Amino acid sequence: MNPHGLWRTLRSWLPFASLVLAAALPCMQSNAHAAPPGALIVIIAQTDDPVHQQALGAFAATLSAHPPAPRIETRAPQDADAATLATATLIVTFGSAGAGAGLGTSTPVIHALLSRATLDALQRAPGHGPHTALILDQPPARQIALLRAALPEFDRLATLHSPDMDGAAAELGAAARAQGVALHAIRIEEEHELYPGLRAALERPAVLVSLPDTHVFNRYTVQNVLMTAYRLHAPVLGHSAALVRAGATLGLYTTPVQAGQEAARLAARVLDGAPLPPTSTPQLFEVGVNATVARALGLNLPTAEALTRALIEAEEAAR
Amino acid sequence: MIEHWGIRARITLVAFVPMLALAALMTATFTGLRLSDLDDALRARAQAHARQFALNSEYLLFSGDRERLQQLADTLLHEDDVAAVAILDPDGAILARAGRASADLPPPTQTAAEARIIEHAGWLRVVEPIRATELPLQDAFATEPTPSAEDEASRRTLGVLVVDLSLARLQQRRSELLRLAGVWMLLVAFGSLLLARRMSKSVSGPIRDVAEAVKRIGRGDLDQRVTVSGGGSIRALAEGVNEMAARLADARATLNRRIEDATLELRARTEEAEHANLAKSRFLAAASHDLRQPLHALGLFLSELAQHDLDAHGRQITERLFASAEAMEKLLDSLLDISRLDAGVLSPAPSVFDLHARLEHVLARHAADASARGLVLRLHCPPCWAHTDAHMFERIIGNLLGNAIRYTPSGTILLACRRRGPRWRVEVRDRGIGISRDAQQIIFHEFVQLDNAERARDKGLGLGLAIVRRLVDLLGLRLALRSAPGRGSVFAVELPAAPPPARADIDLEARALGNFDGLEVLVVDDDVLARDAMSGLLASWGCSVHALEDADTAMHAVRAGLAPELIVTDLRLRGTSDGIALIEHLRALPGFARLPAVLVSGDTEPARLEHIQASGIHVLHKPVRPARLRALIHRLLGGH
Repeated sequence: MNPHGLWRTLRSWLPFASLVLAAALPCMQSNAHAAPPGALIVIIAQTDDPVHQQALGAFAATLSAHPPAPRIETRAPQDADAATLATATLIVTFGSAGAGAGLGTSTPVIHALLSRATLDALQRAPGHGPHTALILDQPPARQIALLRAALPEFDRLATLHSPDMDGAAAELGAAARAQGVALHAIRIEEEHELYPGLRAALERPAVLVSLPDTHVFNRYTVQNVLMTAYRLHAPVLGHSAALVRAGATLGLYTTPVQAGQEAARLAARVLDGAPLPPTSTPQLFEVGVNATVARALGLNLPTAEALTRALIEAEEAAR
Repeated sequence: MIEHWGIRARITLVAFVPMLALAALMTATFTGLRLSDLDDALRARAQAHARQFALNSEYLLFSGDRERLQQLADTLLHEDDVAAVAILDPDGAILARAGRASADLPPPTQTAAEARIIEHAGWLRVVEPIRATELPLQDAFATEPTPSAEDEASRRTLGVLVVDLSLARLQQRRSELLRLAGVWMLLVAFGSLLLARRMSKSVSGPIRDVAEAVKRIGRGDLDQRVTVSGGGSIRALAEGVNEMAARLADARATLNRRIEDATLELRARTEEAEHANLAKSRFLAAASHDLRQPLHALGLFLSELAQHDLDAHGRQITERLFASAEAMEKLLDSLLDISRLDAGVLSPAPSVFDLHARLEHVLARHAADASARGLVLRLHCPPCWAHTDAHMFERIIGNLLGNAIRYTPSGTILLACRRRGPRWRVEVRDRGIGISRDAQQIIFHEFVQLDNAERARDKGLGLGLAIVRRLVDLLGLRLALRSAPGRGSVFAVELPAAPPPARADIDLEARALGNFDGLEVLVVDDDVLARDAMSGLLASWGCSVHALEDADTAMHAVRAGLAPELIVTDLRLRGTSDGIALIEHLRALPGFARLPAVLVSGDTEPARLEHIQASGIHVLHKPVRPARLRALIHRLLGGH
């Protein structure tokens, strides 16, 4: 069988499988609230995207664990017509395309699986109804905390960002300062400034912290950026699992499943009558370690699990 | 053209052409494939180099390391055929450059970020975009809105690599390959030609052998045989040729035997005929000589007798004796003439003469005979001159006239002469018995006499026309006969005309006879009767005669003091010497070098006649007529 055909079959089958899984495990989520009967959640997501499928699966499974489960309808962004959206009790969007389609309605909207930069751009557009968002960007304090735990020998951070990410860079800088760590942030306006920027940022030993900035980290630049960092003996803290696989020494990120679960919990609360909370960074996260790169750089890192646990414990202790 | 070719050439062609065609086809095919492979290999190599280079230079382009890029370009320049390398950034600015490209190629520009190969005037340009390696980031952030494909491509492209390759080496390899192919073709062609010739030789060899043998047989070498080898048609052919040669040899041997037999027989017959002819000539010679001797004496005696005073009866008897002797003499003359003509010893002495006078003379000689038979002779002839031997011509006309008189009972015989072109035609016309057409063929043979079955001797021997025929042939004249039985005959002789000479020759016989009183004459003859008769005649002319019997006696007498003024000797003398030798010996003596001499001979034998002719001495044939002797003596003594 053609691998593409197989993939397409799996993708169309996954939501159904998730629903079945959700029905079979009703008692797993003990802290869930009961949803009002007859509620309808319309999810706008790219159903052919594997990331969205994982998130959708997790969302449905989490929600179905709290009877009475609301009805869930999934729409692709291009199929999300106003009539359908008008019948919904709650709208959940995944990704930037879904977020765009969910604009201009009076129904409460939860945006999930999107970056702060995307959300900012979205919010600059007019005609917003009631909404909240669960962004993917990790809180800078968490990143600094991870670095302090994993790479205590580095007291200097560096980052590159486009003008779009000035705010994020500033936040990171503030968090670093708070932890007594210096951040060398380089602002890049053109792509060819990347290499000189990297050279400048990493001229002294530092950890390169990646921001979800598509001007700096995209599929075409990532290898060369990672290569340059490696050549300059700088470990990289990546913002996604893919970056860790590509060569970042450390990774701090929220997986799609975690994002789906978090969105489901928020949706359940909203359905229970809670007001829409303000935009928040993810509560659930994972730490990734590329042991090969770490070895190559001569770093001795704890395991990913140990680091994750340490972070969670630290955050819970802080609350 | 090919239809004129031999077997060998044809076989060579048949064997050679397909081989050559195959060689050409295979060479062309494999050379073509190899050339195409070379071309493809160069392109593939160029592309591989370019891709490898693009991969290696990706990070250098990202990091803007122009120094390393230049090093890399220089390294690429060391590869075979690479003439120039250029690395451009996405905006078309040159980041690194190595080598010198052909002036024919446009300067490298970043026109499109697509890989391509351009071939231009002996150069190959490989354009390879240098792109960032794509690393898909499968995570939540990747669902951010993606830029357009074009934008993406431009984002992805870090630069462009332009490699210029010279095709010179490829061209050189191509020409080497073509040359090699050509050499192989030539070798194959030469080899196949040799093979084809060898094959054709083995096939055509036996046939050529047969052809050679047939040619030699054709030239007459019938013993030639072909070596029979092989089988089938060639064997049959060789055997057939051998059999043909054998049969030809047989046939030729048979033919040769027959020819030899026939030749032998012919030779025998010829010898027989020659013997017969010789016997005849000998017989005639002997007969005429032996008859002449007494007749000669008789004539001399009768001449002497006539000078004596005789009574009327005695004179009549003497006259009849003269007539009988003269008839006999004529018969013998005819025999002698035939003998001499057959011997070929008579050589004509052509001269210009008065034809009219000669004809008159002949007519006068025969006037008496004609009138005795009651015939009238007439001459119609203008004054004219001709060129031939006058004596022989006179003899011809005389014989014809005599013949006409003999066979014409009555009437007129006309001797006519008229001009016909450059010739004179002399005709003897009679109104006699005529000659039938059959008889006209034989009348010129010896001893043929028409209308003389009784062989009456007054009608001659039948040698007249035979002599005419021989003389006409000897002189190269033309003789014609027109006759019919009862209508008479016309004999015509044509002879060349000539202009009259400035001075007419005086006829020897017309000269007045001189006086021989006191002339000392030596007469030598072994025959007593003849010697006495000659002595008597000469004495009757007033000569002082010394008659001797043989040569030795005569020589002795002369040496003893005899001084003859003239010698008359017989040819045949007793003893070893003959008349000619005697005259020569006498003339060898001092004072006798110019001794006048007359030789008398009765011989008709060809050998002797030739001998006399060769000596140059004047000869009179027996029986000698006194008048002729007298005329000759007169001439010898300088009377003319």
